[in-house]
Amino acid sequence: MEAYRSGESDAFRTLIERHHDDLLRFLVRLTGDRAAADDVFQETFLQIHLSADSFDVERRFRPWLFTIAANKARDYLRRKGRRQEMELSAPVGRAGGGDERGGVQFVDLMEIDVPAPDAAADASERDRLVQRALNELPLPLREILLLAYFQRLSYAQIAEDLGIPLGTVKSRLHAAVAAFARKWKASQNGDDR
Amino acid sequence: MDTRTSSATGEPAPALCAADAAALESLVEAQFNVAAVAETHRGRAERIASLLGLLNDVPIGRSGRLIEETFGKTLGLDPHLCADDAAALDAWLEACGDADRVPDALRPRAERHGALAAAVCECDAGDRDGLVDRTLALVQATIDRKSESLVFERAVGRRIRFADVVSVAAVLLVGASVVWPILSSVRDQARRIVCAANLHGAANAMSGYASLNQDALPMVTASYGGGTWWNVGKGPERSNSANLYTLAREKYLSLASLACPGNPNAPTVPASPEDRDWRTLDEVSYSYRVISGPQTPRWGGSTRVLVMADRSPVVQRAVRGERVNPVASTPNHGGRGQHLLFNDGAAEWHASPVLPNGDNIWLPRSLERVLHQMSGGRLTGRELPDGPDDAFVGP
Repeated sequence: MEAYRSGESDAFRTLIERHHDDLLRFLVRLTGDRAAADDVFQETFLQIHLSADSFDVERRFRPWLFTIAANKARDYLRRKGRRQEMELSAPVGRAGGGDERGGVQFVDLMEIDVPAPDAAADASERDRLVQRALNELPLPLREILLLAYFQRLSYAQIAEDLGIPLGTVKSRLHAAVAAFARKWKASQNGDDR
Repeated sequence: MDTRTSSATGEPAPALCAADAAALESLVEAQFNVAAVAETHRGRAERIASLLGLLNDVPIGRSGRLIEETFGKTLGLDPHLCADDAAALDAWLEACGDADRVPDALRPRAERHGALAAAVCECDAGDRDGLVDRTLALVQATIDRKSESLVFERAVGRRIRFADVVSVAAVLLVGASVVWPILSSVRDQARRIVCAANLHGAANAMSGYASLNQDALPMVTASYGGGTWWNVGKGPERSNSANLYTLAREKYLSLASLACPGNPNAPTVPASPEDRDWRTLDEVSYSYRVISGPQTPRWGGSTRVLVMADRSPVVQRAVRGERVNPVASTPNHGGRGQHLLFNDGAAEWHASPVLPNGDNIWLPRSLERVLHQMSGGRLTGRELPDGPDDAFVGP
């Protein structure tokens, strides 16, 4: 980014190519739509170009990029009116295998059939099911889950980048993983809820 | 104070005197905008508003736990990770996603977190070159639009004769009259492009601010209840521009991004890192939605409202006590129109300050009504929007 700001125009291509795969996957997962992800990808890098002067080179570029991308995706979903809304009155399904104490449902990952990365033959079906489970998550949870998964940052770093307290990041991410695991389980069982 | 008998207790019940009751009714009708209350009731309405204002001063502290519990319940999040999975997730993230660095007891569960993450992160990223090239083309087109300029070829030198000088002078004379408006137009166009980019940057910054502040618009202080909001640089509690300056102070964008090239007095770097506002009205390039406490709209809210515009020509003249033209356009772009930013993130060019729904963005609706009815009325810098859907920016 420093090279681009100092006038090396090729540096911008390098930046885009370096982050292309991860950012595009992140946006496909967040928007649930490849064409939308393409549009938001371009808007994100246009914003990077427009805001290049305001970037603090002492900070890491990747979190800045992903935060801008998440903002652009959120705006896109708002514009398209596709923001996911939960049915508040809908009955909440069990996690399947999770125990229950005092009315609170607990998800136990050891009792869920997590996807095997090497099952190449099922890759496209798995991809579809993962996307379906993600699409059913409320946007704020989907965002924090994807930011954590794609960036592999510590809680402290996520808290710093998002500007929210560390405890809040922790509790939201726990809730997001639990909700995603439950949705994943339900989608495998062909259960819509 | 009147006294009547309470049907519940048989005790004399207090009642407002007729004048106070009328003032209260007017205040409610004016949606608690004292400035919109008729002159005859305004004194009493101000006292009632002050009294009601006391109800807001309840010390509530700030409970992160309450916020998180409410957040979770609102989203219908009943399931929680079991204690072992929660500990494994924490350990896995602290190890930057490397399950091998997680303590043995938690490793099997950390590996499951890793598998879930891998399933999410693995999806087809598609054709790399196509998207990279399209993105570069988009950025290049933006750069090209900004750097539109005329290129003159240099004449090849030879001995200059008097006749050459005369003919060149004649050509320059005629040419200047043709080229000057073109150059001027190109310059204006370039300013508009930079200004539009500023508003897109502000939209992005507001989106970032809103995501961390429950969809609130940038606000340094709730100025509901009075005060003169056009006192730029006189303290954040007395200046609406300080609310917009929050974006620069909290590093959501640079101050340069809030400097329209059409405003020669706009600073591009803060005079001091401690600054919480521009220092004078002349430095402000953009007028911002007048923040009105409880009626403030949200970023991305269900009602589309104006949040920011090129600086108001009305406020500038009203501050100096001069006559105002409420349908004049901003001085930022030679009076030809202004950029507007709405709370859905859209930045648009409008040739008139009157929106298609008839709402004048330089004035609160209450003052617009007065102007329509009696060609009187004067902006005092204390007015508030009539409601969340009333477009009204300043200073």
